[in-house]
Amino acid sequence: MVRLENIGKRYGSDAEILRDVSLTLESGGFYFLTGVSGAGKTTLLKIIYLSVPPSQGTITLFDTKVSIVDRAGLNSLRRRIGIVFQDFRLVEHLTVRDNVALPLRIAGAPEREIRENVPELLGWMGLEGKLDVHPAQLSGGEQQRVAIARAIVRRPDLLIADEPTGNIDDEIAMLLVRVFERINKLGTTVLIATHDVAFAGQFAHRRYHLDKGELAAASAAEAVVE
Amino acid sequence: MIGALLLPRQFRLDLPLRQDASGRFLPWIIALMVYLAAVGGVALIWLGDTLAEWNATLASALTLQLPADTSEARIEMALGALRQTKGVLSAHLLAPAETAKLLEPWLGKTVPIDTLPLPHLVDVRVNPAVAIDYETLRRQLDSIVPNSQLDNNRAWLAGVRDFAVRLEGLITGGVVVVTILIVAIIIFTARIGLAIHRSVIELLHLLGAQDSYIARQFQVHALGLGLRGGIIGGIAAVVTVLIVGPAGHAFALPVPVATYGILDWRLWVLLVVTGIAAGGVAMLTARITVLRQLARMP
Repeated sequence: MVRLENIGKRYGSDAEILRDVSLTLESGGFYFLTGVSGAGKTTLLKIIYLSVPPSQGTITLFDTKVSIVDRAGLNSLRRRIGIVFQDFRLVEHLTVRDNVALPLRIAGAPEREIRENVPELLGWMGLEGKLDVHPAQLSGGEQQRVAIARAIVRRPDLLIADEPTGNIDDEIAMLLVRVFERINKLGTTVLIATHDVAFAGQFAHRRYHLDKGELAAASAAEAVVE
Repeated sequence: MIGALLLPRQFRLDLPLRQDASGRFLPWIIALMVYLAAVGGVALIWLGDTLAEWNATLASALTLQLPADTSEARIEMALGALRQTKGVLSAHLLAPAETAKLLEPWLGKTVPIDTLPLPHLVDVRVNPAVAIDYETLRRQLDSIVPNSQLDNNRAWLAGVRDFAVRLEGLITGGVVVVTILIVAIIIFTARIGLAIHRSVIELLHLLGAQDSYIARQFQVHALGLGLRGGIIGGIAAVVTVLIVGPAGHAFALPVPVATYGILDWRLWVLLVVTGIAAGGVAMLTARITVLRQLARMP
Protein backbone atom coordinates (compact mmCIF):
# COMPACT_ATOMS: atom_id res chain seq x y z
CA MET A 1 0.00 0.00 0.00
CA VAL A 2 2.66 2.52 1.10
CA ARG A 3 6.37 2.00 0.65
CA LEU A 4 8.96 4.59 1.59
CA GLU A 5 12.55 3.93 0.61
CA ASN A 6 15.46 5.94 1.99
CA ILE A 7 13.39 9.08 2.44
CA GLY A 8 15.23 12.23 3.44
CA LYS A 9 13.84 15.71 3.91
CA ARG A 10 15.55 19.04 4.31
CA TYR A 11 14.08 22.53 3.87
CA GLY A 12 16.60 24.67 2.06
CA SER A 13 19.90 24.70 3.89
CA ASP A 14 18.34 23.82 7.25
CA ALA A 15 19.26 20.66 9.11
CA GLU A 16 17.80 17.42 7.84
CA ILE A 17 14.37 16.69 9.31
CA LEU A 18 14.22 13.12 8.05
CA ARG A 19 17.14 10.83 7.27
CA ASP A 20 17.07 7.59 5.36
CA VAL A 21 13.56 6.59 6.45
CA SER A 22 12.26 3.36 4.96
CA LEU A 23 8.98 1.81 5.97
CA THR A 24 6.10 -0.15 4.57
CA LEU A 25 2.40 0.04 5.41
CA GLU A 26 0.58 -3.08 4.35
CA SER A 27 -2.95 -2.90 3.01
CA GLY A 28 -5.51 -3.18 5.82
CA GLY A 29 -2.90 -2.61 8.52
CA PHE A 30 -3.16 -0.41 11.61
CA TYR A 31 -0.03 1.52 12.53
CA PHE A 32 1.17 4.00 15.10
CA LEU A 33 3.96 6.44 14.30
CA THR A 34 5.48 7.55 17.56
CA GLY A 35 8.16 10.04 18.46
CA VAL A 36 8.66 13.10 20.60
CA SER A 37 7.66 16.50 19.37
CA GLY A 38 10.11 17.59 16.65
CA ALA A 39 11.09 14.03 15.73
CA GLY A 40 9.76 14.54 12.21
CA LYS A 41 6.41 12.75 12.46
CA THR A 42 4.35 15.48 10.83
CA THR A 43 6.89 15.91 8.03
CA LEU A 44 6.83 12.18 7.38
CA LEU A 45 3.02 12.21 7.29
CA LYS A 46 3.08 15.20 4.89
CA ILE A 47 5.35 13.25 2.59
CA ILE A 48 2.99 10.27 2.71
CA TYR A 49 -0.13 12.32 2.02
CA LEU A 50 1.72 14.14 -0.76
CA SER A 51 1.75 17.60 0.77
CA VAL A 52 5.51 18.00 0.44
CA PRO A 53 7.98 16.09 -1.72
CA PRO A 54 10.93 14.35 -0.12
CA SER A 55 14.41 15.71 -0.75
CA GLN A 56 15.56 12.19 -1.52
CA GLY A 57 14.26 8.66 -1.66
CA THR A 58 11.24 7.13 -3.37
CA ILE A 59 7.59 6.78 -2.40
CA THR A 60 5.27 4.15 -3.75
CA LEU A 61 1.59 4.72 -3.01
CA PHE A 62 -1.06 2.22 -4.01
CA ASP A 63 1.47 0.49 -6.29
CA THR A 64 2.23 3.79 -8.03
CA LYS A 65 5.66 5.37 -7.95
CA VAL A 66 4.86 8.95 -6.96
CA SER A 67 7.91 10.50 -8.66
CA ILE A 68 6.62 9.61 -12.12
CA VAL A 69 3.06 10.80 -11.56
CA ASP A 70 1.90 14.11 -13.04
CA ARG A 71 -0.06 16.80 -11.19
CA ALA A 72 -3.48 15.35 -12.01
CA GLY A 73 -2.25 11.91 -11.02
CA LEU A 74 -1.05 13.21 -7.66
CA ASN A 75 -4.52 14.61 -6.96
CA SER A 76 -6.05 11.25 -7.89
CA LEU A 77 -3.76 9.55 -5.39
CA ARG A 78 -4.65 12.14 -2.73
CA ARG A 79 -8.33 11.31 -3.16
CA ARG A 80 -7.58 7.82 -1.87
CA ILE A 81 -6.18 9.21 1.37
CA GLY A 82 -8.19 10.54 4.30
CA ILE A 83 -6.37 12.99 6.57
CA VAL A 84 -7.21 14.11 10.09
CA PHE A 85 -5.03 17.17 10.59
CA GLN A 86 -3.66 18.07 13.97
CA ASP A 87 -5.44 21.45 13.78
CA PHE A 88 -8.44 19.84 11.98
CA ARG A 89 -8.33 22.41 9.14
CA LEU A 90 -12.08 22.74 8.86
CA VAL A 91 -13.32 25.39 6.42
CA GLU A 92 -14.79 28.08 8.65
CA HIS A 93 -17.41 29.47 6.27
CA LEU A 94 -18.83 26.04 5.42
CA THR A 95 -21.32 24.20 7.59
CA VAL A 96 -20.47 20.88 9.20
CA ARG A 97 -22.47 19.17 6.46
CA ASP A 98 -20.55 20.93 3.67
CA ASN A 99 -17.18 20.38 5.34
CA VAL A 100 -17.81 16.65 5.46
CA ALA A 101 -19.20 16.67 1.92
CA LEU A 102 -16.05 18.32 0.51
CA PRO A 103 -14.20 15.11 -0.47
CA LEU A 104 -17.37 13.78 -2.09
CA ARG A 105 -17.92 16.94 -4.12
CA ILE A 106 -14.28 17.02 -5.14
CA ALA A 107 -14.66 13.44 -6.35
CA GLY A 108 -17.77 14.45 -8.31
CA ALA A 109 -20.24 12.40 -6.25
CA PRO A 110 -23.90 13.08 -7.06
CA GLU A 111 -25.73 15.41 -4.65
CA ARG A 112 -28.26 12.67 -3.89
CA GLU A 113 -25.47 10.48 -2.55
CA ILE A 114 -24.14 13.40 -0.50
CA ARG A 115 -27.59 14.13 0.95
CA GLU A 116 -27.92 10.50 2.05
CA ASN A 117 -24.42 9.65 3.24
CA VAL A 118 -23.25 12.76 5.04
CA PRO A 119 -26.07 13.00 7.63
CA GLU A 120 -25.81 9.25 8.21
CA LEU A 121 -22.08 9.45 8.88
CA LEU A 122 -22.44 12.51 11.11
CA GLY A 123 -25.15 10.67 13.03
CA TRP A 124 -22.74 7.78 13.50
CA MET A 125 -20.22 10.29 14.85
CA GLY A 126 -22.78 11.68 17.29
CA LEU A 127 -23.21 14.96 15.43
CA GLU A 128 -26.73 14.54 14.08
CA GLY A 129 -27.88 17.86 15.52
CA LYS A 130 -24.91 19.82 14.20
CA LEU A 131 -25.27 19.43 10.46
CA ASP A 132 -25.97 23.06 9.67
CA VAL A 133 -23.76 24.82 12.17
CA HIS A 134 -20.35 26.25 11.43
CA PRO A 135 -17.12 24.88 12.93
CA ALA A 136 -16.65 27.92 15.17
CA GLN A 137 -19.85 26.98 16.98
CA LEU A 138 -18.50 23.52 17.91
CA SER A 139 -16.37 22.37 20.82
CA GLY A 140 -12.85 21.09 20.15
CA GLY A 141 -14.00 17.48 20.47
CA GLU A 142 -16.87 18.04 18.05
CA GLN A 143 -14.57 19.72 15.57
CA GLN A 144 -12.28 16.71 15.74
CA ARG A 145 -15.18 14.37 15.02
CA VAL A 146 -16.12 16.50 12.00
CA ALA A 147 -12.50 16.29 10.83
CA ILE A 148 -12.60 12.50 11.20
CA ALA A 149 -15.93 12.31 9.39
CA ARG A 150 -14.49 14.34 6.52
CA ALA A 151 -11.47 12.04 6.38
CA ILE A 152 -13.49 8.83 6.17
CA VAL A 153 -16.56 9.92 4.21
CA ARG A 154 -15.18 8.47 0.98
CA ARG A 155 -13.94 5.28 2.66
CA PRO A 156 -10.32 6.04 1.84
CA ASP A 157 -7.77 3.33 1.23
CA LEU A 158 -5.44 5.04 3.69
CA LEU A 159 -6.40 7.09 6.75
CA ILE A 160 -3.75 9.30 8.32
CA ALA A 161 -4.31 11.06 11.66
CA ASP A 162 -1.79 13.53 13.04
CA GLU A 163 -1.83 13.62 16.87
CA PRO A 164 -5.58 12.95 17.14
CA THR A 165 -5.19 12.13 20.85
CA GLY A 166 -2.96 15.09 21.60
CA ASN A 167 -5.26 17.31 23.62
CA ILE A 168 -7.87 14.93 25.00
CA ASP A 169 -7.94 12.77 28.11
CA ASP A 170 -7.03 9.08 27.98
CA GLU A 171 -10.60 7.79 28.14
CA ILE A 172 -11.73 9.81 25.10
CA ALA A 173 -8.47 9.03 23.33
CA MET A 174 -9.17 5.36 23.86
CA LEU A 175 -12.66 5.74 22.38
CA LEU A 176 -11.18 7.60 19.44
CA VAL A 177 -8.76 4.79 18.69
CA ARG A 178 -11.71 2.38 18.85
CA VAL A 179 -13.41 4.51 16.16
CA PHE A 180 -10.28 4.24 14.01
CA GLU A 181 -10.23 0.49 14.62
CA ARG A 182 -13.81 0.20 13.37
CA ILE A 183 -12.83 2.12 10.25
CA ASN A 184 -9.82 -0.16 9.89
CA LYS A 185 -12.07 -3.21 10.05
CA LEU A 186 -13.89 -1.88 6.99
CA GLY A 187 -10.64 -2.29 5.06
CA THR A 188 -8.95 1.10 5.46
CA THR A 189 -5.27 1.16 6.33
CA VAL A 190 -4.77 3.43 9.35
CA LEU A 191 -1.69 5.38 10.39
CA ILE A 192 -1.86 7.40 13.61
CA ALA A 193 0.94 9.71 14.67
CA THR A 194 1.31 10.36 18.40
CA HIS A 195 4.01 11.64 20.71
CA ASP A 196 2.62 9.41 23.50
CA VAL A 197 4.60 6.20 23.19
CA ALA A 198 3.01 4.73 26.30
CA PHE A 199 -0.48 5.35 24.95
CA ALA A 200 0.33 3.69 21.65
CA GLY A 201 1.81 0.77 23.56
CA GLN A 202 -1.60 -0.06 24.99
CA PHE A 203 -2.74 -1.33 21.61
CA ALA A 204 -1.69 -4.42 19.77
CA HIS A 205 -0.89 -2.52 16.62
CA ARG A 206 2.34 -2.11 14.72
CA ARG A 207 4.50 0.86 15.66
CA TYR A 208 7.15 2.88 13.93
CA HIS A 209 9.21 5.12 16.16
CA LEU A 210 10.96 8.22 14.89
CA ASP A 211 13.89 9.70 16.77
CA LYS A 212 15.51 12.90 15.49
CA GLY A 213 14.37 12.21 11.95
CA GLU A 214 15.43 8.60 11.84
CA LEU A 215 13.50 5.44 12.44
CA ALA A 216 14.58 4.17 15.85
CA ALA A 217 18.02 2.65 15.91
CA ALA A 218 16.61 -0.55 17.27
CA SER A 219 16.31 -3.34 14.76
CA ALA A 220 13.36 -3.25 12.45
CA ALA A 221 11.90 -6.30 14.12
CA GLU A 222 11.93 -4.55 17.49
CA ALA A 223 10.84 -1.20 16.19
CA VAL A 224 7.84 -2.71 14.50
CA VAL A 225 5.97 -4.42 17.27
CA GLU A 226 3.08 -6.74 16.58
CA MET B 1 -30.59 44.64 -7.02
CA ILE B 2 -31.19 42.84 -10.32
CA GLY B 3 -27.55 41.89 -10.56
CA ALA B 4 -27.67 40.05 -7.26
CA LEU B 5 -30.18 37.67 -8.75
CA LEU B 6 -27.71 36.79 -11.46
CA LEU B 7 -25.04 35.57 -9.09
CA PRO B 8 -25.64 31.83 -8.97
CA ARG B 9 -26.32 31.39 -5.26
CA GLN B 10 -27.23 27.80 -5.83
CA PHE B 11 -23.68 27.12 -7.01
CA ARG B 12 -21.85 26.13 -3.85
CA LEU B 13 -18.44 27.74 -3.47
CA ASP B 14 -15.96 25.96 -1.23
CA LEU B 15 -13.92 29.15 -1.14
CA PRO B 16 -15.52 32.17 0.59
CA LEU B 17 -15.11 34.32 -2.51
CA ARG B 18 -18.48 36.00 -2.04
CA GLN B 19 -17.25 37.51 1.21
CA ASP B 20 -14.26 39.16 -0.47
CA ALA B 21 -14.23 42.94 -0.75
CA SER B 22 -13.74 42.56 -4.51
CA GLY B 23 -17.30 41.28 -4.78
CA ARG B 24 -18.55 44.67 -3.65
CA PHE B 25 -16.55 47.01 -5.90
CA LEU B 26 -15.79 44.87 -8.94
CA PRO B 27 -19.31 44.85 -10.45
CA TRP B 28 -19.38 48.66 -10.35
CA ILE B 29 -15.99 48.95 -12.05
CA ILE B 30 -17.09 46.45 -14.70
CA ALA B 31 -20.40 48.34 -15.00
CA LEU B 32 -18.52 51.55 -15.76
CA MET B 33 -16.36 49.79 -18.35
CA VAL B 34 -19.36 48.12 -19.96
CA TYR B 35 -21.22 51.43 -19.96
CA LEU B 36 -18.38 53.08 -21.88
CA ALA B 37 -18.12 50.13 -24.27
CA ALA B 38 -21.89 49.99 -24.82
CA VAL B 39 -22.19 53.73 -25.45
CA GLY B 40 -19.25 53.37 -27.83
CA GLY B 41 -21.05 50.51 -29.56
CA VAL B 42 -24.21 52.59 -29.88
CA ALA B 43 -22.16 55.44 -31.30
CA LEU B 44 -20.64 53.09 -33.88
CA ILE B 45 -24.05 51.89 -35.02
CA TRP B 46 -25.42 55.43 -35.01
CA LEU B 47 -22.46 56.57 -37.08
CA GLY B 48 -22.96 53.75 -39.56
CA ASP B 49 -26.67 54.50 -39.85
CA THR B 50 -26.09 58.19 -40.33
CA LEU B 51 -23.45 57.68 -42.98
CA ALA B 52 -25.66 55.23 -44.84
CA GLU B 53 -28.53 57.71 -44.65
CA TRP B 54 -26.40 60.57 -45.92
CA ASN B 55 -24.93 58.40 -48.65
CA ALA B 56 -28.36 57.36 -49.84
CA THR B 57 -29.64 60.94 -49.83
CA LEU B 58 -26.68 62.86 -51.14
CA ALA B 59 -25.41 60.35 -53.68
CA SER B 60 -28.69 60.62 -55.57
CA ALA B 61 -28.80 64.41 -55.56
CA LEU B 62 -26.84 67.12 -57.38
CA THR B 63 -27.09 70.85 -57.24
CA LEU B 64 -26.50 73.06 -60.27
CA GLN B 65 -25.85 76.69 -59.48
CA LEU B 66 -26.25 79.25 -62.29
CA PRO B 67 -25.24 82.93 -62.04
CA ALA B 68 -28.03 85.36 -61.15
CA ASP B 69 -27.92 87.11 -64.53
CA THR B 70 -28.40 83.92 -66.60
CA SER B 71 -31.08 84.33 -69.22
CA GLU B 72 -34.13 82.07 -69.22
CA ALA B 73 -33.14 80.65 -72.60
CA ARG B 74 -29.76 79.51 -71.30
CA ILE B 75 -31.37 78.12 -68.16
CA GLU B 76 -33.70 76.05 -70.35
CA MET B 77 -30.75 74.86 -72.45
CA ALA B 78 -28.91 73.81 -69.29
CA LEU B 79 -31.99 71.97 -68.02
CA GLY B 80 -32.32 70.25 -71.40
CA ALA B 81 -28.68 69.16 -71.32
CA LEU B 82 -29.15 67.74 -67.86
CA ARG B 83 -32.34 65.85 -68.74
CA GLN B 84 -30.65 64.27 -71.75
CA THR B 85 -27.75 62.98 -69.67
CA LYS B 86 -27.91 59.27 -68.99
CA GLY B 87 -28.55 58.61 -65.28
CA VAL B 88 -30.31 61.90 -64.61
CA LEU B 89 -33.85 61.24 -63.40
CA SER B 90 -35.08 64.83 -63.07
CA ALA B 91 -33.89 68.43 -63.10
CA HIS B 92 -36.03 70.97 -61.28
CA LEU B 93 -35.37 74.71 -61.24
CA LEU B 94 -36.11 76.05 -57.77
CA ALA B 95 -38.58 78.90 -57.67
CA PRO B 96 -37.31 82.14 -55.99
CA ALA B 97 -39.57 81.35 -53.00
CA GLU B 98 -37.93 77.91 -52.59
CA THR B 99 -34.46 79.44 -52.79
CA ALA B 100 -35.47 82.07 -50.23
CA LYS B 101 -36.69 79.35 -47.87
CA LEU B 102 -33.36 77.57 -48.12
CA LEU B 103 -31.53 80.76 -47.17
CA GLU B 104 -33.90 81.73 -44.40
CA PRO B 105 -31.94 79.96 -41.62
CA TRP B 106 -28.89 82.11 -42.46
CA LEU B 107 -30.43 85.41 -43.51
CA GLY B 108 -33.59 85.46 -41.41
CA LYS B 109 -37.09 86.48 -42.45
CA THR B 110 -36.58 90.20 -42.35
CA VAL B 111 -34.11 90.44 -45.28
CA PRO B 112 -35.88 91.18 -48.62
CA ILE B 113 -34.43 88.22 -50.48
CA ASP B 114 -36.04 89.13 -53.80
CA THR B 115 -33.79 92.20 -53.94
CA LEU B 116 -30.61 90.14 -53.68
CA PRO B 117 -28.73 88.84 -56.74
CA LEU B 118 -29.25 85.20 -55.83
CA PRO B 119 -28.06 82.45 -58.19
CA HIS B 120 -30.55 80.11 -59.84
CA LEU B 121 -30.52 76.67 -58.22
CA VAL B 122 -31.41 73.44 -60.00
CA ASP B 123 -32.18 70.35 -57.95
CA VAL B 124 -31.03 67.34 -59.95
CA ARG B 125 -32.00 63.77 -59.07
CA VAL B 126 -29.79 61.00 -60.40
CA ASN B 127 -29.76 57.22 -60.36
CA PRO B 128 -26.85 56.33 -58.03
CA ALA B 129 -26.44 53.02 -59.86
CA VAL B 130 -25.49 54.79 -63.11
CA ALA B 131 -21.97 56.16 -63.44
CA ILE B 132 -22.15 59.74 -64.67
CA ASP B 133 -19.15 61.45 -66.21
CA TYR B 134 -19.31 64.63 -64.16
CA GLU B 135 -16.31 66.30 -65.80
CA THR B 136 -17.86 66.06 -69.27
CA LEU B 137 -21.21 67.22 -67.89
CA ARG B 138 -19.54 70.17 -66.12
CA ARG B 139 -17.76 71.24 -69.33
CA GLN B 140 -20.99 70.92 -71.32
CA LEU B 141 -22.93 73.04 -68.80
CA ASP B 142 -20.13 75.60 -68.63
CA SER B 143 -20.25 75.99 -72.39
CA ILE B 144 -23.98 76.73 -72.12
CA VAL B 145 -23.80 78.92 -69.02
CA PRO B 146 -20.34 80.23 -68.21
CA ASN B 147 -19.44 80.17 -64.47
CA SER B 148 -22.07 77.53 -63.66
CA GLN B 149 -21.23 75.18 -60.76
CA LEU B 150 -22.24 71.54 -60.54
CA ASP B 151 -21.90 70.20 -57.04
CA ASN B 152 -22.24 66.42 -56.63
CA ASN B 153 -21.48 66.47 -52.83
CA ARG B 154 -18.73 63.88 -53.32
CA ALA B 155 -15.88 65.92 -51.91
CA TRP B 156 -17.96 66.75 -48.84
CA LEU B 157 -19.07 63.13 -48.40
CA ALA B 158 -15.48 61.92 -48.77
CA GLY B 159 -14.43 64.24 -45.95
CA VAL B 160 -17.28 63.04 -43.76
CA ARG B 161 -16.41 59.41 -44.50
CA ASP B 162 -12.78 60.01 -43.63
CA PHE B 163 -13.82 61.60 -40.35
CA ALA B 164 -16.22 58.72 -39.64
CA VAL B 165 -13.51 56.11 -40.24
CA ARG B 166 -11.21 57.90 -37.79
CA LEU B 167 -14.02 58.15 -35.27
CA GLU B 168 -14.81 54.45 -35.68
CA GLY B 169 -11.16 53.62 -35.10
CA LEU B 170 -11.16 55.78 -31.98
CA ILE B 171 -14.30 54.14 -30.58
CA THR B 172 -13.06 50.63 -31.42
CA GLY B 173 -9.78 51.45 -29.73
CA GLY B 174 -11.73 52.62 -26.68
CA VAL B 175 -13.68 49.35 -26.56
CA VAL B 176 -10.40 47.41 -26.80
CA VAL B 177 -8.89 49.46 -23.95
CA VAL B 178 -11.99 48.86 -21.83
CA THR B 179 -11.74 45.10 -22.47
CA ILE B 180 -8.05 45.12 -21.53
CA LEU B 181 -8.88 47.01 -18.33
CA ILE B 182 -11.55 44.45 -17.39
CA VAL B 183 -9.04 41.64 -18.02
CA ALA B 184 -6.39 43.41 -15.92
CA ILE B 185 -8.80 44.00 -13.04
CA ILE B 186 -9.96 40.38 -13.06
CA ILE B 187 -6.36 39.10 -13.14
CA PHE B 188 -5.50 41.35 -10.19
CA THR B 189 -8.61 40.27 -8.26
CA ALA B 190 -8.08 36.57 -8.97
CA ARG B 191 -4.49 36.77 -7.77
CA ILE B 192 -5.57 38.50 -4.58
CA GLY B 193 -8.26 35.85 -4.11
CA LEU B 194 -5.68 33.10 -4.51
CA ALA B 195 -3.43 34.72 -1.93
CA ILE B 196 -6.25 35.33 0.57
CA HIS B 197 -7.64 31.81 0.31
CA ARG B 198 -4.35 29.98 -0.06
CA SER B 199 -4.87 27.82 3.03
CA VAL B 200 -8.28 26.57 1.83
CA ILE B 201 -6.89 26.00 -1.65
CA GLU B 202 -4.07 23.92 -0.18
CA LEU B 203 -6.64 21.96 1.80
CA LEU B 204 -8.69 21.32 -1.35
CA HIS B 205 -5.55 20.08 -3.08
CA LEU B 206 -4.80 17.75 -0.17
CA LEU B 207 -8.34 16.41 -0.44
CA GLY B 208 -7.57 15.62 -4.07
CA ALA B 209 -9.15 18.57 -5.87
CA GLN B 210 -7.86 19.05 -9.40
CA ASP B 211 -6.80 22.53 -10.46
CA SER B 212 -9.85 22.73 -12.71
CA TYR B 213 -12.13 22.18 -9.68
CA ILE B 214 -10.57 25.14 -7.87
CA ALA B 215 -10.48 27.27 -11.02
CA ARG B 216 -14.21 26.59 -11.50
CA GLN B 217 -14.92 28.27 -8.17
CA PHE B 218 -13.16 31.43 -9.29
CA GLN B 219 -14.64 31.41 -12.79
CA VAL B 220 -18.22 30.99 -11.58
CA HIS B 221 -17.69 33.82 -9.11
CA ALA B 222 -16.13 36.02 -11.81
CA LEU B 223 -18.95 35.16 -14.23
CA GLY B 224 -21.49 36.32 -11.66
CA LEU B 225 -19.61 39.57 -11.01
CA GLY B 226 -19.08 40.18 -14.73
CA LEU B 227 -22.74 39.59 -15.58
CA ARG B 228 -23.83 41.81 -12.72
CA GLY B 229 -21.54 44.61 -13.91
CA GLY B 230 -22.53 43.98 -17.52
CA ILE B 231 -26.22 44.29 -16.82
CA ILE B 232 -25.83 47.43 -14.70
CA GLY B 233 -23.58 49.07 -17.31
CA GLY B 234 -25.85 47.97 -20.16
CA ILE B 235 -28.96 49.38 -18.51
CA ALA B 236 -27.15 52.66 -17.82
CA ALA B 237 -26.13 52.80 -21.49
CA VAL B 238 -29.73 52.24 -22.61
CA VAL B 239 -30.95 55.01 -20.33
CA THR B 240 -28.29 57.32 -21.73
CA VAL B 241 -29.27 56.50 -25.30
CA LEU B 242 -32.94 57.05 -24.56
CA ILE B 243 -32.16 60.47 -23.09
CA VAL B 244 -29.57 61.59 -25.62
CA GLY B 245 -31.10 59.98 -28.75
CA PRO B 246 -34.11 62.32 -29.16
CA ALA B 247 -31.84 65.29 -28.54
CA GLY B 248 -30.31 64.58 -31.97
CA HIS B 249 -33.40 66.10 -33.56
CA ALA B 250 -32.60 69.40 -31.91
CA PHE B 251 -29.56 69.88 -34.15
CA ALA B 252 -31.85 70.17 -37.19
CA LEU B 253 -29.20 68.81 -39.51
CA PRO B 254 -29.80 69.30 -43.24
CA VAL B 255 -30.03 65.55 -43.82
CA PRO B 256 -31.80 62.89 -41.75
CA VAL B 257 -29.86 61.60 -38.75
CA ALA B 258 -30.59 58.08 -37.52
CA THR B 259 -31.64 58.12 -33.87
CA TYR B 260 -32.16 55.27 -31.53
CA GLY B 261 -35.51 54.25 -30.22
CA ILE B 262 -36.36 51.76 -27.53
CA LEU B 263 -37.90 49.53 -30.20
CA ASP B 264 -34.65 49.26 -32.14
CA TRP B 265 -33.71 45.59 -31.79
CA ARG B 266 -30.01 46.38 -32.18
CA LEU B 267 -30.06 48.28 -28.90
CA TRP B 268 -31.21 45.17 -27.08
CA VAL B 269 -28.77 42.92 -28.91
CA LEU B 270 -26.01 45.31 -27.88
CA LEU B 271 -27.20 45.22 -24.26
CA VAL B 272 -27.25 41.41 -24.20
CA VAL B 273 -23.93 41.07 -26.04
CA THR B 274 -22.08 43.53 -23.78
CA GLY B 275 -23.51 41.88 -20.67
CA ILE B 276 -22.59 38.39 -21.82
CA ALA B 277 -19.22 39.58 -23.11
CA ALA B 278 -18.37 41.15 -19.74
CA GLY B 279 -19.32 37.93 -17.96
CA GLY B 280 -17.48 35.81 -20.51
CA VAL B 281 -14.31 37.90 -20.43
CA ALA B 282 -14.33 37.89 -16.62
CA MET B 283 -14.93 34.14 -16.45
CA LEU B 284 -12.25 33.20 -19.00
CA THR B 285 -9.72 35.59 -17.49
CA ALA B 286 -10.31 34.21 -13.99
CA ARG B 287 -10.01 30.62 -15.21
CA ILE B 288 -6.78 31.17 -17.13
CA THR B 289 -5.23 33.26 -14.32
CA VAL B 290 -6.11 30.76 -11.60
CA LEU B 291 -4.97 27.73 -13.60
CA ARG B 292 -1.64 29.41 -14.33
CA GLN B 293 -1.15 30.40 -10.70
CA LEU B 294 -2.18 26.97 -9.38
CA ALA B 295 0.32 25.28 -11.68
CA ARG B 296 3.03 27.09 -9.70
CA MET B 297 1.71 25.81 -6.38
CA PRO B 298 2.98 22.47 -4.99
